[in-house]
Amino acid sequence: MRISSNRRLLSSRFGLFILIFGLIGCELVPESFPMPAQRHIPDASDPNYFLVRFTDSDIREYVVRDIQTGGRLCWTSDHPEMKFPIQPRAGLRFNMHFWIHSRTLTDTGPVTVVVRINDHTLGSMKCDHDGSYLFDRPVPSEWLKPGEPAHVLAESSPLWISPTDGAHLGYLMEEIGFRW
Amino acid sequence: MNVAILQILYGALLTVITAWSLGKVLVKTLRIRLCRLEEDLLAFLTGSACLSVIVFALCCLHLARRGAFTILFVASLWLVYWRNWLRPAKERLPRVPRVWLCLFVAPFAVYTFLYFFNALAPQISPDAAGYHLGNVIRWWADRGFDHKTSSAFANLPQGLEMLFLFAFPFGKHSASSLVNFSFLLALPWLMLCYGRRFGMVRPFVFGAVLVYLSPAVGLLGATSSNDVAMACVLFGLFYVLEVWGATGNDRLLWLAGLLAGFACAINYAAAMGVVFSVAFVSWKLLHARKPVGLALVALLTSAAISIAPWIVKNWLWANNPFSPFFNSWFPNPYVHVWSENSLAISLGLWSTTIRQELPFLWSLRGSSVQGIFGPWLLLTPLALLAVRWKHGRHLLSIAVVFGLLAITQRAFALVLPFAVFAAPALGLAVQNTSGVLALLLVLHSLMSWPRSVGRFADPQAWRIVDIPVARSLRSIPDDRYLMRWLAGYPLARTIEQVVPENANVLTLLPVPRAYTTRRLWSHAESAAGELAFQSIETVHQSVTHPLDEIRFRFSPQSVRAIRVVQTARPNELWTVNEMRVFSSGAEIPRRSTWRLSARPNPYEAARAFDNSEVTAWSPWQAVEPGMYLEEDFDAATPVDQLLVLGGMDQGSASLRVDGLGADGQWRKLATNPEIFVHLSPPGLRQAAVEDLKSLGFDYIVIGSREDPGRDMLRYRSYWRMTLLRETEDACVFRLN
Repeated sequence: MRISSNRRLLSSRFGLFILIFGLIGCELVPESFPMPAQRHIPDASDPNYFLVRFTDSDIREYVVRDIQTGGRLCWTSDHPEMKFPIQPRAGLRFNMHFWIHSRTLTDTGPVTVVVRINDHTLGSMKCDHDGSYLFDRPVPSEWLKPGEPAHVLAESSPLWISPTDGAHLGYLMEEIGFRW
Repeated sequence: MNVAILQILYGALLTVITAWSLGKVLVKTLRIRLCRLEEDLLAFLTGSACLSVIVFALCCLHLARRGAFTILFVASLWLVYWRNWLRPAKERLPRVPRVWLCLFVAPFAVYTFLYFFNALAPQISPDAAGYHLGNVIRWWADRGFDHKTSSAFANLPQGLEMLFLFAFPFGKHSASSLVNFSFLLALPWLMLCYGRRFGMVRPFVFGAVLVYLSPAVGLLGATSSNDVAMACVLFGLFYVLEVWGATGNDRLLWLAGLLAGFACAINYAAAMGVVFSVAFVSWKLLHARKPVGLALVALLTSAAISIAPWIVKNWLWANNPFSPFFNSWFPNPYVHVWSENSLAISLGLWSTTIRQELPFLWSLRGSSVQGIFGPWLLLTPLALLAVRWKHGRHLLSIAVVFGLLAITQRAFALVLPFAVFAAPALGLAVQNTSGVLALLLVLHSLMSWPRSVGRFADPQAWRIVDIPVARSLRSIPDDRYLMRWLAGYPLARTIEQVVPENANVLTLLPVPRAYTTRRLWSHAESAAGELAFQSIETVHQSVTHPLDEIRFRFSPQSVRAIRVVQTARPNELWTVNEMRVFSSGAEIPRRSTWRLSARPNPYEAARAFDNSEVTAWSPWQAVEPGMYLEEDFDAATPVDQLLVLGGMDQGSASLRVDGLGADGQWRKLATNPEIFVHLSPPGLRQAAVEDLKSLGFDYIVIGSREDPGRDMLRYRSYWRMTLLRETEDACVFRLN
């Protein structure tokens, strides 16, 4: 008799346990939600740019050829080329911070850097002293194509040729990209 | 001796003694007769389960205080003393032959010295300093559970962390790791007791030493992790079931159930323990033609005592009893389905390692896995020969289950339970080959020493490398040591200094949460964190990955609702930043009476209708045909265009627009949209910060060397942020 009542008690507990688990399984998800309050995009004039530095971990994604990576300032050689996932838009400017090294300048004399974007010549800059330079020019939006990267070729001449291993060195790149 | 050391030892001993006392009370109250040593070990395990549930209850009541813990300690010990249960059991297990006792005790003593000092040293293990003790320090700061879902890790069952919390107020982080260390100490003795009880001393000395000396076991047992405790409790469960099988004492089933539930409460991976218990008990009883029902009720009821509190807590607070997993079964706004894989990887329950390489990595190399077991693991297939013995079959049945799961899931967390059952089975298999057991034991003892392991392991393998006596005895201040060796520790201290209490901090960098009391929300561990990160990324990627304007044009229709439906299975996350409807070329202004829904993830549907490009709705799981985002009008509304603003490369071409007609039928309105690149308007930075604030964040911690952190540092006024502190490679900002 006692065993029987215990069994009934335990069975009812077990049933309750199953019921709780069943209820847990019946989680109700609301069918719909109300329209939220409408936000207003702030009336701000954000600085817009796409500039890469050579300390960026993803820098190799942008280098096409002839630019060393791995430091703050990186040497260029014959045909330094990069690509940028930039869309055509009004007010676009190309920016490049670079350095001319005193050691190479002594041997080569004044260096000219010519920048081409998607095979269009953007401009050139003559560098007759060592130190830093900023190349900053507006870019016609029609030079860029939607959905295609902008290829930037920034060649220098004359190149310095290493007397020991024959390596070609141009200038030191620090930061490069676009502003608008 | 340094006061800090005394506090650490006091905290750990207090916990272990309280657990043992509670277990002793339980065992004696149930009038279960066990032998000396095995009674104490099983009392410690079952008492730990009881203590865990009691601390859980205290946390619910916000009574997780030093005083409450002390009262519990005194009360449980006094009860044991008062009932005269302090005396060891009268019955003894059969003696261990002197040679085998030496073969057990000598390596045990030497490696205990190694492990003890590592457990005593400041905690630098990423998992321990991250979520194991990170949760503990939060509960301690709040004196209990906080109804928050800042991290999916906080939703895991944390049976062992309840014991860490008991020790933490007295001895801080190292006391918690010593509590875990006590399970490591208990494991080989429990295995030895099993061998003595069932007349298999040699195989179990062999198995116990193999397991205890394995580098991974020592490492995991010397940190505040839960793998060793889970394995120890699972072995305790196996032990109790075998004793029940041999004695037929049904009261043992209450202990077994408690241990099965506790193992689950330590780690979901131990759910197989419950399955094994049910199968074992059912099989035994059916075989003996006895009723199964009552036995299973006792087993499952006591298991529920340990695990049900965690399930109910998750059900009430996270809308998912098994959070952070099974989110597609239990949809909720707190953890995305998308996050489950990364969580499983963090917990060692899944990995992307090539399956064929796993035995080699787990036994010898240790690279890209959480530890090394040693060459003996490669011999475990020989354990199948133990099938000749009854106990061998029992050991193998559970070892095979964990082994297969470990291999199929590529889950390191399951290798340890496998090893615990496979090692004695291996001993059984080769016990009759003279000298093999002793030879393997000696070899394993020599090869497991850190210097020897260094010769065959990968240099990057995570393992114990030395005996840190100076660090453990605090000859080097903790702060100085952690500054040097724990990545993110300086950042954790910075956050502690510059962020006020109770502020919500979004962290886009890993921060060892165990060393700050501030409320950190990792961007990868909660839905809110992921949404915040998505907003920031939308701003950052507006240049490199601009949004698509996906425009559907169709003949004018009067519809009661409209939805954009996914028809393919693109291999990317589908995001909709804005969805707008048009009529005669003009956008139809949204009305507050309109309703929004989505399948799946309806909770975030509103983020595609809030007039902000930085917020977005996503299913946050693998995209499947039939998923949709829907806008319900309050009356039939004429429409002829629908514009979706969404992430690029998302298979936009596979979208379709359906409309709900006046007859209540859904009809296809348009496919083949026109797709344009969207040029973002200015002001997105500030919009993103406003979204972060609406999600409840007050501060953000972000890397400063790369975007978007570099951009925040450079243009913080545009982000409307104040820089509070800049460390070597991170910044702490306040959102204005």
